[in-house]
Amino acid sequence: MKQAYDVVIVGSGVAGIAAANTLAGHGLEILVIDENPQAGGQILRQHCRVTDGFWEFDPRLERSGRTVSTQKIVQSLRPVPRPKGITCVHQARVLGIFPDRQLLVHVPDPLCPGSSVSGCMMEIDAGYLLLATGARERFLPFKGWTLPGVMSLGAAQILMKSSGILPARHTLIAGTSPLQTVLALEILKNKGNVTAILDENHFAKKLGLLPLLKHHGFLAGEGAMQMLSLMIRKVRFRQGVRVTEARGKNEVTAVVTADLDRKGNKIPGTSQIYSASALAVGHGFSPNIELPVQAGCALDYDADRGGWVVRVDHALETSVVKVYAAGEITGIAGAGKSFVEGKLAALSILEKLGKKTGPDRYAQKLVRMQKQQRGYASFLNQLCQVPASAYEAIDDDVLICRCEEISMGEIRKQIAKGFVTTGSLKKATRCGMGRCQGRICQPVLFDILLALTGQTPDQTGSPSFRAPVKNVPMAAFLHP
Amino acid sequence: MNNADTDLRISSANRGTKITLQVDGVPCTAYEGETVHAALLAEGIRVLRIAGKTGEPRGIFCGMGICYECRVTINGVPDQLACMTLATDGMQIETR
Repeated sequence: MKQAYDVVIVGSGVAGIAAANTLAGHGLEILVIDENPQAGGQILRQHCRVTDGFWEFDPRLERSGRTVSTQKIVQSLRPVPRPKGITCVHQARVLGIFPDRQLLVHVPDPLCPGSSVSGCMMEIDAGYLLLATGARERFLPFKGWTLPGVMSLGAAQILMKSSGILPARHTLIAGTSPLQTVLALEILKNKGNVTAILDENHFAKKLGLLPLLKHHGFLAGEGAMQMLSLMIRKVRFRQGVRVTEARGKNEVTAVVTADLDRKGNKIPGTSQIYSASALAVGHGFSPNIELPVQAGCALDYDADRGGWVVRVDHALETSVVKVYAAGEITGIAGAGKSFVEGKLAALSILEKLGKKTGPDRYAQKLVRMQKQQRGYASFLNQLCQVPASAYEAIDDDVLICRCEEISMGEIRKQIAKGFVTTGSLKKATRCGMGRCQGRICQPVLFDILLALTGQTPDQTGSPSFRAPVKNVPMAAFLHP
Repeated sequence: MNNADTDLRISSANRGTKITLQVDGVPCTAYEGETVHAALLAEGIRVLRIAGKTGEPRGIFCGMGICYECRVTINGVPDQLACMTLATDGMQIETR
């Protein structure tokens, strides 16, 4: 690793890989930093197991000029020898971004001079910086959601994709996310059992959202095919049902549900109990905005794009000069948008550097593809969205902040006292000050604030993050 | 440990070389390429730590280095994320 690079890319998911490949071959020194043991992010994790080479997407993907599905992206990925000028560092965490794009990075042991089991710190200067930090899942908390065996939909998939291990022999699937059916099919493919899929959305809501899939008609078909194959496999599928409690002593053994009315409110007297050894649950996605916020990038709030997203111009440059953003952090819309934006951001950087990148026609195609993704973004985020009434209805004994163990009752009390902004409520309750630094509870807390106070997102305020944005041992700072 | 939940390894998956981990002093089989959190789950170990205030058990939650619920001590270094660490032969892991 060097101390300075022409371009530093943070994150090697779909957007990061697409950007790195577009930047390669122009005589630039490019550094790709990723905190995972392997590249690929969440979508491609199973396909990026080789660590020595690099990957590229089949060029036909963008030549078609049409909307790209996740499936196509996965299929078109292929291993290539690492292009000249690209350096990849894994299990490294960017902890802070300082003026003039100076990065503070925690790197693992093998890359440290001498040896240090805790790793060491490095300062790296980026001529241009591209943030492609992706997204995480979001949740509607319920009693017992902290019990071992209750996990995110993504966690259940990751166990299978990365390690070839089922989440449990029998898995119950719940929430609002389109990941539900994907996970169920993956479990069945691997000879596990799906106890049931409990979808909070009523069929009518899903039907009502279909017109948003204007350029993505094939996705409706894909969804229907998935449902059909689940029906053939006799998977129990219920709609308009919410998990209200996970029960068990040391791990989950039972799950309680309630039926929902058309507005998403629980109907009294409709509770049912499922026996379960694992519950996979999720309510959509939230962009990983910690680093861009810490770097000073302006945000916008847009529920149709997944909440607080990084503000970018047409060239994908953020409000901070020479800092670019691509993929889920500019709006949750899946792998297709990440692919297109990774390419576009790289082309913008190449143009600024005075490198010729071929005919404009190519860029125009990408811009058109990017626009087409907006309808899908609205569809996806509205599908996952939970009504405000669901946040109001959370019982006082439910933990909201898992790290600091802060209950809904405590949050209600502090909101009633007048702590009604993101910043003041965090200070009043310690919600978001634990190990995860609010990555799980902050989007929940924000929705609770909107629901309980009736304020606008701007009145409530965007979250703030300071370096180091991830936990790191003190020993790493002390290492020479 | 829940007997019904052991042997979760998917038969059709490609596995690396068989290795042995020491989990709380007990030998535990794993395979190269598996993350620590998955290897522990496959052995039926689901409680990875105890929450400080309420004393509640905690285990895998996000699986992708976000939630910090799966932190364990690895080779003497505390607070390592089991989900972001690949298992290696002879690795010493302490839960709780």
